[in-house]
Amino acid sequence: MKKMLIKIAVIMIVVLGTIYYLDTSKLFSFDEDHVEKRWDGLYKFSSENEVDLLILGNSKTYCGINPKTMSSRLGANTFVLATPNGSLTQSYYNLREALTVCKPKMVAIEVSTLNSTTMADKEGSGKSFLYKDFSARRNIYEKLITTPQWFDLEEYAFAWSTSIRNHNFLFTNTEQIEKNREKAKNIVVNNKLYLGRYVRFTSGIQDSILSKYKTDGPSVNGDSLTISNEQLNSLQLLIDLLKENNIQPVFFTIPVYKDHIENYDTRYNILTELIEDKYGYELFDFQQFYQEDMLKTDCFENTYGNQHMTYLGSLVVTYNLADSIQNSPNSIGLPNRKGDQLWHNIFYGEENYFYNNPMIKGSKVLFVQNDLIAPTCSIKEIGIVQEEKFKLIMAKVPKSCISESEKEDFQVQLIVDVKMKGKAQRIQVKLPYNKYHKPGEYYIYSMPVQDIEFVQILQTNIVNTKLTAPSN
Amino acid sequence: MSWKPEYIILIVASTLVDFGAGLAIEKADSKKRKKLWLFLSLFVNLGLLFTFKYWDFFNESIRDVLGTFSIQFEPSTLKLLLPVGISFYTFQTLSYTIDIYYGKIKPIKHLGIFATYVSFFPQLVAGPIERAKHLIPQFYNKVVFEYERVKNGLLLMLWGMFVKVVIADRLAILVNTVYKHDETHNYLLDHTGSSLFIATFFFMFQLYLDFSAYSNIAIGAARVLGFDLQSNFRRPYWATSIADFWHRWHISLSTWFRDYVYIPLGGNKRGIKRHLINLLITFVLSGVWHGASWNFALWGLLNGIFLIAQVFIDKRKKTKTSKASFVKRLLKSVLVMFLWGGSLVFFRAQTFDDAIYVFQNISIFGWDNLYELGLTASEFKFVFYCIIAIYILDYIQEKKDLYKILAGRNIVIRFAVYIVAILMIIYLGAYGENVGDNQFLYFQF
Repeated sequence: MKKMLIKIAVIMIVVLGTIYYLDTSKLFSFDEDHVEKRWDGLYKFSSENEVDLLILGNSKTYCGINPKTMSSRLGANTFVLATPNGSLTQSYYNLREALTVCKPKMVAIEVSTLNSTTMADKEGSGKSFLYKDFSARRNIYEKLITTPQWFDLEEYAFAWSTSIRNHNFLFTNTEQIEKNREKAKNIVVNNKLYLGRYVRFTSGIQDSILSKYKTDGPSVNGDSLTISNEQLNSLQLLIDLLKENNIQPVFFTIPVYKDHIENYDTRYNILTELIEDKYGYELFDFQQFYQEDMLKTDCFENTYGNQHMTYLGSLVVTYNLADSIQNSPNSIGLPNRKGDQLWHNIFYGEENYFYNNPMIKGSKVLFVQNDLIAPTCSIKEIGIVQEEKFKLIMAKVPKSCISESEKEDFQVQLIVDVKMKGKAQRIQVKLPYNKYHKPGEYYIYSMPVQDIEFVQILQTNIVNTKLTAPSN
Repeated sequence: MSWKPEYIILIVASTLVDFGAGLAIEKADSKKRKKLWLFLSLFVNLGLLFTFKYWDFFNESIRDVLGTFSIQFEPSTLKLLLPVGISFYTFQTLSYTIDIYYGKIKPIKHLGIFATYVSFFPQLVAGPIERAKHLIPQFYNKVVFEYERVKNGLLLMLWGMFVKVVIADRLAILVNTVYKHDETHNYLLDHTGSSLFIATFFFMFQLYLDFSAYSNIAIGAARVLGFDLQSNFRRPYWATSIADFWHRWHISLSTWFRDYVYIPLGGNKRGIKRHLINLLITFVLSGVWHGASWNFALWGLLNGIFLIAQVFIDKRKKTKTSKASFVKRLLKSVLVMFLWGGSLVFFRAQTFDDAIYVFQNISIFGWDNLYELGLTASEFKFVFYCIIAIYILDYIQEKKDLYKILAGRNIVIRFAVYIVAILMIIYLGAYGENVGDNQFLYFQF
């Protein structure tokens, strides 16, 4: 018996060692796994910085919240730990692991994760994402605790081993194995910090979908949105965990297009009863309090079914959430790290940074002129910011100059000496109102351009286009 | 296969009735009384089997027959789930009472041992169908750990797993793609010629490998526990005649029908006509045992007809040839496979019309893209080579014991074989996401 046990042990060690080798070699992994990148990002971010605001949710969340914009607005370190098809149960176990590496002051939870599904219901792509989420996690103890909660016994091997889960690559996706093999040979270290953002949609709802809403009606009925007992239990566990760790919870809703859902009141009432009445926490529901003037068709994915926000939509919601958190009377107050070098290293010049912070000439700000006198008002800053794929001409007009209701009617008009393709020219630049920025002290007027170099601003004007437009 | 907890009552009832009937038959003082107890056992066991497996089929068949005479009959169908292993344990317990009736064995007095015999887990769900004479005495033996026995059992299980997961389940993907017929669409009608041929050919090997894999796992598991079960397959695709084939295929069921149907009917002892009728009855019943449908009955009938043809061919032969050459043997085995594969169309097709469609279209020349039938090109090639490898290994096994050959190698080679086999099961197995749930085929019976 002993002899046999030893032999079996030797065989199992070799087999398990081979599986471990194949898993760590990542031969059977998918390309660009953003779930894995998100967890790697959290571990990296946490090792170098403190996470102040952790945001949990699903794909609506990582498409709908921009952590860089949030951080530039709040001055607090924000990380989005949302997973595709994620449920609140998933969020709870992910939070457990996250708390082993960071201690956020606040955790914001997107409530579309409170739904009717259970972990056992997950199948198809939902199950695949669950496996990916689990694989990307690193804490062995937390993974052991999570395993029976997320998976059936026959799924354990798939959960723990990528190579077993994707073994069919050997027949169905040999190109991926080859690509992974090549990648392993030429490892490229990417030092760029990933904050859990995943920009997926850049164009909004088109006419075909709008007419489908008209003919078929909304695709979601708020009356039918229920919450499973499993999710309710997880919510209780999550709140207990946050209390134990002295972390303030905040709940919010990422909106969908107004015609996408009907009877939202029913859903809203269930959520408020649960979150506000039962637990006494705030719910920032951007669906119930839908901003018709901001949330236009270009803010939402062009789909009739499961809808996400576009890049522009995410800016609207991010500002709303940031301001709701900041202005809430119950807010514990997040730290403002704008003066910290570490914060500066990460967020300086990143997405929408200069909307919320002063422009200072440097590698990101190619040109800036302060306190320019226009006939009716003094413009705080006019500058050119180098974005990833374009340059952005931006003017910050104090809110006192223009009334709130008219801000979109105005343009900032400039006469500028510029160099375009090396040629000196004098041109007029008209900057429209930037509606995807929620004003703080200033209204932003901006315009993307490809190749331009400002030499000197000669004249500045703030013009109400409605008043100056020729009438018929 | 399906499972409802309350169905445990069926196996308990079957156990209690046969245990009691066995004792009563022995105690009965007259032939008439013995017969009465035997009938009670037959009535209860076959009654349960009939109710759960054949009731709906029987009623629907009556409706169809009456319908041809324009007589309306709306049968009351039960739509019951088929209890796990009912066909297998019913036959196993029946053999017990029949053997006692014919005085071949003595009844046992220990209900626990009898219950273990009926519900012995390695073979409960899909056989091999054991005989009381063979299995029950083993429950009285003291089991001690024997290295060689346990190792042998584990290797049988490993081989069974390999064959099932790596080969049979991958063959199933193509077969299921071609033969698919659901409520929304009959996909079979989308295929002709080469697709039908390759799917039928693959199914012939899928059925063999799937079922023999289960049998190997069952026999191996029992062996690890210290029990010896009878073997169920003996390289059937190297059979040189249909009669030879049935001595090699699902041996435990074939011998059951031989001993409890064919011989009691008179076998070949009552003249040629009766002999042929007995063959047909036995094979049609064997077909119906597999499933409640006319397709299975036709499958059995077809095999009965093949055997009858063989009876006539054998009669014409004056002398027996001493030893067939390899080529001759190969050709014979191919012919047997051809006939057997043809009959399997009825076994696999979901309806009679589907089976007819296959026969009508399988010979139509057409070269479909075989790599679009659910398997990638590399999978197709891999599985095809596996079939050839199995066929060759079976031939070697006819001559030599592969287990002994492996056992004679040094430890490094043996370990390498074990480890590679395990890793092949893990990495080349057809399972996981996007692969269907592949139960053993015989679980459905």
